[in-house]
Amino acid sequence: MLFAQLLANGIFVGSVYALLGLSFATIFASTKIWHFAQGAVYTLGGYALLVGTGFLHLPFVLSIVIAMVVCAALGIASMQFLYAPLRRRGATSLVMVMASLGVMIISDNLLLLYFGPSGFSIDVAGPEPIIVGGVFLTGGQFLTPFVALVVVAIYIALLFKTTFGQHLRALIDNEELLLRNGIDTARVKLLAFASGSALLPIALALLVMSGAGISPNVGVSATLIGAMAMFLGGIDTIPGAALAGLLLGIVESLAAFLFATEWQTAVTYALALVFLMLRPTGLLGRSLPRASL
Amino acid sequence: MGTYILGVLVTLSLYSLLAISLDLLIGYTGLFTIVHGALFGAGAYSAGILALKFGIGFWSAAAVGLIAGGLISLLIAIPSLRVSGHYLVLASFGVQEVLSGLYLNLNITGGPAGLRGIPRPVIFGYTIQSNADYLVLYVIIVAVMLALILRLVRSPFGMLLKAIREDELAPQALGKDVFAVKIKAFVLSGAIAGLTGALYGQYITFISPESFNVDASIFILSMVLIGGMGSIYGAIVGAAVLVIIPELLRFLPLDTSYLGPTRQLVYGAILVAFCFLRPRGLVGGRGGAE
Repeated sequence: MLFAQLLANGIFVGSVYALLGLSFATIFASTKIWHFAQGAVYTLGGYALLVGTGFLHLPFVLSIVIAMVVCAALGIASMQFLYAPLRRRGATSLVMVMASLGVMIISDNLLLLYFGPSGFSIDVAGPEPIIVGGVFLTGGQFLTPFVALVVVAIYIALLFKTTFGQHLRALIDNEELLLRNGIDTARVKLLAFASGSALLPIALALLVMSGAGISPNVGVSATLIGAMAMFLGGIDTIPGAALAGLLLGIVESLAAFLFATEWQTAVTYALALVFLMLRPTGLLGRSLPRASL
Repeated sequence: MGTYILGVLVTLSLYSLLAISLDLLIGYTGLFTIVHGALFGAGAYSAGILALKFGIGFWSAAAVGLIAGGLISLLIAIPSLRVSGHYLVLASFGVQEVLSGLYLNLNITGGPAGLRGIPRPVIFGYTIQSNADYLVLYVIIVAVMLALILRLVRSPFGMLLKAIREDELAPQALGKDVFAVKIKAFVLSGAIAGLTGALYGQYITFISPESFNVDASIFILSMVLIGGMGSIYGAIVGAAVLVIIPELLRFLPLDTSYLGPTRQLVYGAILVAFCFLRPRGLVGGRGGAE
């Protein structure tokens, strides 16, 4: 019974991780930038939800849409005002990572100064809790896998059916070739930042519906989970990140079946790293990435 | 006031050593990791726990810290060095989060409350008590370490590290075991961080998880970046900038609850400004992962 409950929780958490993985993968695969400031975008998206529904009492769905627009804009801004100028100055990847971390520190502490260190929860009227065969799920937890599935399906369809999606996937392999064909890769990258960032508020909303709070330090772990999911899925495939995110959530939850909860994260990441050691290409990946950092 | 300044200098000496140890890895060898805060913590906790439980002395505690940092660094290095640099970033960041979580949740580390009452160093029967005592002892230790490290980076081994940073294939073609050299750099860097952790614990006498979290790792990385990668003196300058400037804010008329975030804000702004205006750092070392 405990196992079934943990599995159900794992599917819930994994659905959220799938979105985080998809988000990180969209940006990293196409630009090869370690976008740590994504943690800041994520946190700011959370506060957008808080201000929208918690403070202004807007309908939750409207808040989510606003937060998505905010995050997309922040994503574009990160590329336009942070990474692109740094790139023009000939900054190494390392300097870009440091600048990204710097922006994350600035953003987190501005939030800390303005909203204070304590977390906020947002009251959202979700569906009623559900008990199936002794497995208890809140309404939000029950809804999450379905919402995530729809979002992932639409996202992957866009990735494979639209011209933008094709350009984005082509960017993973060969930027040179796209440029030769007269495709504005800078624009594709901006769109990658926008679409990847716009996924974050959906993940946040699903967590918030299940009672998770918003505080200035929620971003770092979300970025790490997204990155972990992307590497596990395969560094050169975007859909792989969604699958890996789901599995990561399930493994993390099931780890509590065998180990004390304080070891949960340690066990999950250790397993993930062992997996990557044995299969560096990830679940769905094709080739080994070239060393560049 | 005098004690306060001496205290800042003791902190500076410790962070200098941390920044130097990270610079060996990131600046000299070109390996980018985000785990130094956790390695620092591994030294602090292992030395602190053994000192509290078994009453080991100053030198043994230092050795314990050294070994703990080196071992954990080795555990990170062996799997992640087989693949490209991006995996190293991920693996090190993952280990950082795992260790932060363990420091926070295990019983033996005292959980969120941390460890209190770590014994102060006793050297030849003399208990180190005042900040002045600490400064003398720690500056001597840091100076000895600095001399050893300077010797090392100018030795053939140091040259090999830089060669690996510039182009792995060339030293490989000369028959050098690049993998083994990288592992050695990792262990050395981690061991020094662990030693610094042991020294830190015996100075503050109280350690808690937030001194060793991902923010601590970023803080040490920033020192290396601001000073200039691949320069030992640069690492010291970087540590000085980031230890002293936030301390100066203490003298502004700020409410104490705003002091912490404001400090962080200033430090974040310094970091971003350096990335844009002086990406090679103050001393302008030629190193760093590309």
